[in-house]
Amino acid sequence: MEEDQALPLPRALALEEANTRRSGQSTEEVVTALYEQLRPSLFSYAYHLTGSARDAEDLVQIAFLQLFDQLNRRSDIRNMRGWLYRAVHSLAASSARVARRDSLIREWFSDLEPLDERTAEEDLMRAEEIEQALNLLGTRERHCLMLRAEGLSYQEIGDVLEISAKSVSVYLARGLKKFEAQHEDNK
Amino acid sequence: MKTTNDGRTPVPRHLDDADLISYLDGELSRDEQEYARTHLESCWNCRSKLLAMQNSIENFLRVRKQVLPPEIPPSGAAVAQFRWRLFQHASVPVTLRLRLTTWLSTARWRELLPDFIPLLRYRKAAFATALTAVVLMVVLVDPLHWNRVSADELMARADAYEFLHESPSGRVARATVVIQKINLETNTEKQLGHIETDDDSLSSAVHLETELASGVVYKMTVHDRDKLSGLGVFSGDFDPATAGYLNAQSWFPRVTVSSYRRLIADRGFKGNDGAFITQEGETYQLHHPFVNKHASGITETVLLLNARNYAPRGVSIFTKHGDEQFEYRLTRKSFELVERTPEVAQLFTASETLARSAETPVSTDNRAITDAAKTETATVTPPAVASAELEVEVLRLLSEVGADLGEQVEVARTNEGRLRVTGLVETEQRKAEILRALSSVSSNPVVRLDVQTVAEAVARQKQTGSERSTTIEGMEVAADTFPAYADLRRTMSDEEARVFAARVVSRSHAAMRHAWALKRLMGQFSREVLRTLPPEAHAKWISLIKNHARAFERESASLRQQLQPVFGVGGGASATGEITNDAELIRAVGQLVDLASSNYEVVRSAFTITNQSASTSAIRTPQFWQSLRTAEGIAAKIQN
Repeated sequence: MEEDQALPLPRALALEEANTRRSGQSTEEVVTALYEQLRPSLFSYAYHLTGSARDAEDLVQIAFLQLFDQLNRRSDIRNMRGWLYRAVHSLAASSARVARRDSLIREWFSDLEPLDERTAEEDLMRAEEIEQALNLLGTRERHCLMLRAEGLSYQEIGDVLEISAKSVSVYLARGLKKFEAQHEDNK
Repeated sequence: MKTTNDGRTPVPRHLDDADLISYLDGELSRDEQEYARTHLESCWNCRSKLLAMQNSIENFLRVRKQVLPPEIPPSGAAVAQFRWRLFQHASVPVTLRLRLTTWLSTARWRELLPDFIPLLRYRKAAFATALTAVVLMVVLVDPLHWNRVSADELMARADAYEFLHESPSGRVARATVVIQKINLETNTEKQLGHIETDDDSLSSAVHLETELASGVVYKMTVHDRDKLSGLGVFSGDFDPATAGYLNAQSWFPRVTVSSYRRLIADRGFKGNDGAFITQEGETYQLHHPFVNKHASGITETVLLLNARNYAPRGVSIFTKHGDEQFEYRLTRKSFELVERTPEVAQLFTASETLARSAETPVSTDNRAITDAAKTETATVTPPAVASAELEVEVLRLLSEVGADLGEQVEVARTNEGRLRVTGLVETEQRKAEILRALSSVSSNPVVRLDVQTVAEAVARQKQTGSERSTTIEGMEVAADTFPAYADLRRTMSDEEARVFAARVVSRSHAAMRHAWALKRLMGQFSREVLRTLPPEAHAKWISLIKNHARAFERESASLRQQLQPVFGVGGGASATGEITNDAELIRAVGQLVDLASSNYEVVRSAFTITNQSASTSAIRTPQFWQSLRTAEGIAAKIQN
């Protein structure tokens, strides 16, 4: 039968559409194409984590630079989208821990113009608004909801946050409940 | 979740929240999904919970949309920036790069490099050193990598350079290009001339100054630089077939990557197929051969790039018609980003009339122009009375240079029905700017312009001897803090509090200026005149009003947001209703101006240093907050 003779699909091909574009393209081109494609949704997630458009843009770009390095080292990233979300997530987490990343990055790339002109003060205000709007949610719940809203599967969310898919559903359900309770209060 | 269905009656095990959301998301296993579906069919309880869950998701998405930025910054800019960054990143050898990325991205770099810690105190020095190292790497490593770099990448890098360093953002981009025609048989050069282009930073206008080898200068402004095309005065120097192709590509002789892309778009090959790179000293030459016997007679084009930074340096077009072979060589002589001073801005603003005659470039032969102008005024006998239409046009021109904000310039009618524009401005520059804005109507005999600077006004007063004793007395300032200072200091440093106050007052003032502008616009015409205004003029008038209402709403809303965290009082809805006619509009604007003035007073008294006793109490009253919201509401209503 023909089916038996069919070659198994390369794993990468089955998993990530963008991977199929890799043949014949330089890593730089692949990464740039992927950046163009995934930037908006990664940006939204990063923005929710940092509350600043400038930082979000920056984090997303660094995540892609890391992806570039990763692809050059060993190219078997199973799910690039999930990988990128995880990178953004841990970048944001560590930047919050150190809270000084921004100055480092800015000095390093001081010749690059910031892409948005909003002031740090306004960024702070936005961050506060986000905090208020999602006040009652636990961190995990919030991350799960935000990632789900970007269209990630439970497994992908679980990979980003390093929890099981089952836990993701529990966090999501609990998060929505809490959110709804607060939403009612605000009305 | 386990199905306990043993084939007889389903045991009614209810679904918990996690099951429900997993069900909605299609994340259950096939069996579980099936069980959930049948259960939901029979169980009202769970179904209603499911609907509530769906509802929560929608609410969540709505809030999420609110907290995300209204629009994600455009991707074109970000991609160009990323390309550049990735390129710099990729130029660093892998071992060093891995370490760099680690530093950049995580906190671990402290642990990785314990020796480095003492240096942290001298962070700047450390960064400078590291940065130098990276730059050196880029310079050293780049040539080695060169063979791998494709025409695609070279173009991409040039694009990135152009975007990052040559976009006229903030400043006007001024470039000069020299054009030569070289006969490749006889190897003789002919200078065709040079073109200076100024790309405006505040609009999409471009100003062109073309000087032919003969010394004749053509100047013109094109309002949309993307539409800039055609060989214009150089048409005659190109073979008609070549000129036809260049015109069809909307190509204009300038040295930019974007215009070069147009040049090669229809060369008979796809993308960068067949393109190759050569290097000559500090210059990369990116060659794009044209398909054999291309209708244009072009055989090849070349983009010259600075090998250090990929800045465009020149463009060459090679043509062959029969035995004649020519190279058209465009060389960039200079490029700079210049401040948008009033003199520079004038290139773009004053040339509405010039732009209209863009098809036939304006000659600088002064005599010809003045003669033409004379004949025009002689033959046209304008009506002695200025129309209301003209009045609206004057107002619109003034608003374009912002001269309708504040009390600067006034448009009034004389007894004879002429239009008189009077103004008192601070500087000569401002005067020139306003007169230029009005240039298209200034020759109209029913319009009289009387704009003078303060210095001129003073001089004139002295001349007429009617010198009034106006002495400005320095005001004694008793206190050096403003009334709201104490409140702000609870959460802010001294400096922050002062910055906050200054910002709030200037916001409030900005809002007020738009309110004044609205008031002046409303007072401009009586209701009778409004009724008889031609539709276009009426629409123009309305759009001016809407612009100011929008600006007012924006300023006022951000003022409210600034004040909210410190002085906010909740509650209160804004005005509703619709404006259906001019009378209601006039009433709404009147209301808006009253509210805006009183709000401005409250803000000013709370945040400016004064020797009178004032308190911040007003700013905390629900009335003030109500009034802020109402004013915004009215402004919104005016826009609809």
